[in-house]
Amino acid sequence: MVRQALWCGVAIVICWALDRLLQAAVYGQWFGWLTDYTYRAFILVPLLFITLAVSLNLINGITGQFSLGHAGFFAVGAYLSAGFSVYFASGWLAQVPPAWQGAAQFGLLLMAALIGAGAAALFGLIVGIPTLRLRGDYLAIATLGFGEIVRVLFENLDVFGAQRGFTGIPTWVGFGFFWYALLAMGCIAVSRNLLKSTHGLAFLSVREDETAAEAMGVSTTYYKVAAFVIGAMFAGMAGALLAHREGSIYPVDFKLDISIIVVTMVVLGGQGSITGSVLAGAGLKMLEELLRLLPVVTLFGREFQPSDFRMLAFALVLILTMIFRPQGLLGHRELSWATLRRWLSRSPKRASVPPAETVWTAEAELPPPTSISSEGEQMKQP
Amino acid sequence: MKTPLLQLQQVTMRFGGLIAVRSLSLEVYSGELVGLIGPNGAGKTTVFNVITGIYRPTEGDIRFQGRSLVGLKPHQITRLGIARTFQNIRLFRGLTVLENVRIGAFVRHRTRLWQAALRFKAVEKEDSELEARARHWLKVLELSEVADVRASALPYGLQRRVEIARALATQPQLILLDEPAAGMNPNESEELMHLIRRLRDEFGVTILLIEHDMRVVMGICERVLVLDYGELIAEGPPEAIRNDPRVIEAYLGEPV
Amino acid sequence: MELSTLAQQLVNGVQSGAIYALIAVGYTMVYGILRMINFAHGEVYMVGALVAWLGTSRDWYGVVSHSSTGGLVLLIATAMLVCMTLGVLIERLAYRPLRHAPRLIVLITAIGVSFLLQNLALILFGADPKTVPLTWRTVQLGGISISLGQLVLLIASLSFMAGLQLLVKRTQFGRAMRAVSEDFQTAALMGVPYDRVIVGTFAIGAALAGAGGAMTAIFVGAPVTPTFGFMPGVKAFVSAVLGGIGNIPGAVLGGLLLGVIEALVGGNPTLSPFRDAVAFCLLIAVLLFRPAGLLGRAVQEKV
Repeated sequence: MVRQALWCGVAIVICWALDRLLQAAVYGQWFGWLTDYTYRAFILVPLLFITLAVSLNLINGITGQFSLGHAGFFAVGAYLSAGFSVYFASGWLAQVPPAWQGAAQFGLLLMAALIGAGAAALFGLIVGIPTLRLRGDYLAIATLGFGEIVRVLFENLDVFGAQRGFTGIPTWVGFGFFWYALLAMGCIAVSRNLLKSTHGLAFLSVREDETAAEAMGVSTTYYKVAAFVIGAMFAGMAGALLAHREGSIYPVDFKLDISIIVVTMVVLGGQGSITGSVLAGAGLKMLEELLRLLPVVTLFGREFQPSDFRMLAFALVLILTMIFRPQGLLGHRELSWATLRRWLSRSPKRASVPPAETVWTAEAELPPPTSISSEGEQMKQP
Repeated sequence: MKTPLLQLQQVTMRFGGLIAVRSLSLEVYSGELVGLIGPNGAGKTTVFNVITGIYRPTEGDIRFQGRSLVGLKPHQITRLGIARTFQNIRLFRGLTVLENVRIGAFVRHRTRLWQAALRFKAVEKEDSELEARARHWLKVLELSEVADVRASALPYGLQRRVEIARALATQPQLILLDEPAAGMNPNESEELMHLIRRLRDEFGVTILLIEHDMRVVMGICERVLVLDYGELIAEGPPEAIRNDPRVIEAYLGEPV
Repeated sequence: MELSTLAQQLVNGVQSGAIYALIAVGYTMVYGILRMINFAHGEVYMVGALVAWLGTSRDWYGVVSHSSTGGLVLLIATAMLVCMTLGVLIERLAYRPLRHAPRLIVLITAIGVSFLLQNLALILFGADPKTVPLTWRTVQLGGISISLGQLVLLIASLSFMAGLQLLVKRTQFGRAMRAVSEDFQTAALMGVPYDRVIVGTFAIGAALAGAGGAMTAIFVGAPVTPTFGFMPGVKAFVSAVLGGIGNIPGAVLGGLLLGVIEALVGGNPTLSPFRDAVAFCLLIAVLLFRPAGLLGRAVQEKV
């Protein structure tokens, strides 16, 4: 326990220090290119998506459950934490003497984040349990469905602002780096701890072969649900942070697009690879932001903003990755210092990362279809 | 007569209109090395699947150490002490040999998931214990050299051995081997026979095995059960079975 | 609920259900043959509608200026042709290289293609809803008012499906399709040109979806947006699963059923905002309680 506290302390201090540094750099305009806008676009948002990608990786990559509804967990965390803050916490805060305001905000933000995380985790439970029996395509659609139901729900509930969006959320996160970075680090640390332990092997065994895993004493139910819950929890916390930094959230922020973007990140990075998710998550988001900076292009007499091509680019990345490098950049492997040293010391021979095995064995099937005609006619030789 | 370790009482397994196992009753006593044979499609693997909880028997009861297994999920049954291998080797292909066997050892874990998430000392300690146990089994089965090789990269014979190591790592009292000698040449099956006997003699594991290779069956099984169309048609020592006219008839040919 | 309102809703339900069915058969056929869900199928439907809108707004074949029926038929045929080409293109470019890849990869690619098409449409045509500038008279059929357009749509859809049934049951190609869906390898060994069967299946499915899209835009006047195909695509998938995936009559049944249930829910004032959720709830219910669908056969997995 002491060791954990120590590590947390170190992380907190580092994040706090970097936060201060960045604030000074941004507001003191140390670098021309580091403005509030670029800080948000190239540091904050990528950090957020790192958390989203790594948390999804636990579900998709490590446990092999294909979830297309991550935006749903993100939304639940955002909306419910915001609801708490707007309807309860703000009222409480007003009653706190000015001297204690800072500490109170800190505490309330923590509460809001925990509520968001808890609500999302609960939702992860709700999604995880019914989907236990589903494989592959069906699981994808079911999770997609859940994600959409969540969004539609928030879109129609007036208490959460419905389509107008939920505004007036207290921006206790402030500058943001401290919280976003801490969350990302926490998410990565937990994922890594899980993966490295024998419990991690249990998750992997569920991915590799569920029947064999059960036969070896691994409760596939437990681990599948656990993956969903943990993944959802982090996504929910990310949502809470987003809400409390931006001050307002809109249903459109949690569209299916977001789920697909995060899936693309996990896939590109390599399903099962935490470093892969980090790199792809940060990388893709930064590239996306770079697109926005490109000038307007004129084609066939029409003006095109390159940023309009963002989603198109994501789709292309997804398709091309699947066709040409389905294991993603890092496959199942992590990029560790050891691997890096090995790569650098090696002669210019191609780094022999063994091709990742198929994520699904042939046994993970949908119920086989019935024949096309309902009577199941035998084929007659022409 | 002591109580059997494993007992099937009038077990019937029906898939829609197909009756795969028909009112089957059998016993396996602790320390035995029993063979289960029968022509293809006789229902042998189905029996294994029913015992290990993959299928729930349509009728009948299965008792392990006196306790009913019906309705239990496979992982619970494994925890009670029954391990198995599969007819068409189901290793965790993307994982290394060591990782495969570690998962077998994992059955006996005591730490919780949240402790692993927060990297408690207890988890690290347990992990090294589990790894040590896994390595022990690798050594017993002479797989130490390939510990870090991807399971899918191994030749067939070694894969079979890894599957057995993995099953052993669950510390079972009863192990169900599904055609362990499949695809092996005479030398390999000879080695396998030694191995299986060792498992029983040195490690006290009770063994029930399905096999088509009659040399193996006759060589190591003390008792043989014969299945045909889901029914038990003969039971007894290998020599008696070999000469049993019903068995010969069921096989459409002679055992080797 | 009054009987006439109920009947009215039933009619509406059947009409939208017919559209779902048209799209659903495409899903189900492709699944039957390739065991994959063509996520991009909904977008093909959208393209069909887009072509129809283009045609009417540019007055191709004189559909608007001359109110020409023949022109309409030509327009729908054009939409079908365009969609057929699109479907085949998708199969050749995105799915064929992955013919032997694990299913997860194909799934992800299909999602990518779906997204690609949506955003291409967004870029090329913009996000604003486009409506076909045609109006239809309403007729009264025994207390129920139905627009002429809806009527035509219904009849046309049912005819298409009947035509498909004929194709599958009576033609050699249909036989080939059934063979490939039953047993891929044996069919190949028997000399069935499965590659052509696959292309053909995609083509037919896409043509039907395109027809569905075009007819929806023309006869019902639904405004076309790039995401126009997403919900109908998902609902059609649910219909296919409901009826038993891989089963064509099942897809039709599923589609009609879904349409009717949706209409009933939509008619109820308290439930109506959740109309779209019906499909998802049905899907989850089917997958949990009867994964083989209504007309499907439950098959045990061999361990």
